[in-house]
Amino acid sequence: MSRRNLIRVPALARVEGEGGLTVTLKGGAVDRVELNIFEPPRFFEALLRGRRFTEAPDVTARICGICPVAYQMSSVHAMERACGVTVDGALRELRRLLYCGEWIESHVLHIVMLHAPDFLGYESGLHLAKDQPKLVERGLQLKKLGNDIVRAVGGREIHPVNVKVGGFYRVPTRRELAPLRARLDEAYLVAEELVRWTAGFDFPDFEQPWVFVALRHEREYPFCEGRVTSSDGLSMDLADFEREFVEEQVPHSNALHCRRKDGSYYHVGPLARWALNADHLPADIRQLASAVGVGPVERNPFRSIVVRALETLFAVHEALRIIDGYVEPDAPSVPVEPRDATGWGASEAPRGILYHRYRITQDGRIAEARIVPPTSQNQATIEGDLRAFVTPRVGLPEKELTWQCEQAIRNYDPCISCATHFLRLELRGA
Amino acid sequence: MIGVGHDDRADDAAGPAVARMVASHLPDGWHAIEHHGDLTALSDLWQGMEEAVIVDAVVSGAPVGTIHHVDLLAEPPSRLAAAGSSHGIGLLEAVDLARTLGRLPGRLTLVGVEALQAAVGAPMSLEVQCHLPVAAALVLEQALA
Repeated sequence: MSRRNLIRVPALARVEGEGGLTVTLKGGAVDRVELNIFEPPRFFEALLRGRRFTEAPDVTARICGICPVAYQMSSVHAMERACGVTVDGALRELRRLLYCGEWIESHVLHIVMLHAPDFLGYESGLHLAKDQPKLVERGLQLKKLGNDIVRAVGGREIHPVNVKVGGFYRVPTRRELAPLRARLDEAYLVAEELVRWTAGFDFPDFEQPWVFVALRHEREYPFCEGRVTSSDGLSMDLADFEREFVEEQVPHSNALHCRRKDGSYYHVGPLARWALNADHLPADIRQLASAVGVGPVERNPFRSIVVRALETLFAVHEALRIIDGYVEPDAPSVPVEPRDATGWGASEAPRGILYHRYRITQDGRIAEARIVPPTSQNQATIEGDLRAFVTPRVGLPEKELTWQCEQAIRNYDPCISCATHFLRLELRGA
Repeated sequence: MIGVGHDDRADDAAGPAVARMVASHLPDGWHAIEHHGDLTALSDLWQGMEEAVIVDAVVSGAPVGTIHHVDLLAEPPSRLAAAGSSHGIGLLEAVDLARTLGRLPGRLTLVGVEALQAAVGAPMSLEVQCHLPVAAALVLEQALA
């Protein structure tokens, strides 16, 4: 096979985890697109079987170092539903605050360090920082605020330890949240700046006819609760999720691919949340979106960076609201007694809907676990995007096309696995 | 001193393990911190410090367990090969980023522990375990100097 018939990226850069890309061309057209995820499977669902139902939030948090809160929130909601318990009031608000922190840190890292360099012609966030140090510094300060919110509510910033089924082990005092409150006004300005900055990028002319899928709550932009809805009219309880969405193995990836039962694929993440929930955003955020040219539905995946910035702004706005109205609850958690039951939980991780299902027994053991992460749901969509994107561009120089393909994948901020810090060290001349 | 790594990933646990070994032996003014991820936050930890020592698992092709001692300020990161990780920010990028943003400490040293593997749930290699006291001694020697 000649090189021109193959676009291959053996290791994707600026994504979370290890994956690669292969695009095979035949007769000048795209023949096959494969997003190769070679990160080894970790069998968390099997690992959970036989464990106490209370262990699920701490075990599943270990799936990801970027979005552990999403795993914790999906799991506690599933367990509480199984046990017939509802957590509300200040505890519910603290859960939303924790989620705000995760969105801020994850979104800002992606926007500033991983994705913006694509649009500005930089090799990496590091190169961007050399030219625009103040902007990167302000972005990193905003990200740090997200980390600090997670630490204040969750006990530590990576893999929080304070979340439990029924609430928290300990709740923060108003006084402990005050230093965060003091930084949020400035953070709001920085987030606004990110929206205007990203909206000014040049975006490829490319739109996709996806079906969007996201949670929708009756009055809130969704974090942890709501019905599963789609842009083609679906609205169902979480208990029906697996009747509509199925996972399947593909030979070229260690991660399962999700499809709808009719075989079609769908899109989850910020663009889906935006399309299905933007009416629940505060008026000033909707006005800013309109002012910078973001429509009620965005179908260009490259413009997801702007919607991420808008969601960051929302997370700051929501954190301000929650802290300002925070009244310390009487108890850090509500009692939860196990019973023979199945529970479903889902939350909107930064990259999209994260679904959990558990069957538990009366003695509090997990008999069955099912976890469907957002990147798994988006894999087929990413491949579909690449197919559509490459087809009219096959005449581009190989290097340029390869770069654009990588960029198309980064539109999804794919979270292939949680991080490990293995440094390849080569001392030259030492 | 900052021990970077993950306790559940075999040799990647070297950094946090050394942090725990030296924590109660460090002189006044020194702190041992275990850092499990998000290397963009490293500069928040060392910014404003006179001195910082990073302990991390590394892969250079040297025998497993080899202890490397690198002055990260004297040794420009560009002279070291690109990070093997595909993750957004590796240690060397974090150092370079801090340099760019003026957030470096007065002195910054890497104590690298040559690793064999980072499989999830696997035990630490015997060679790495045996050499952790050497890494800890190097950290203490520097802190007490």
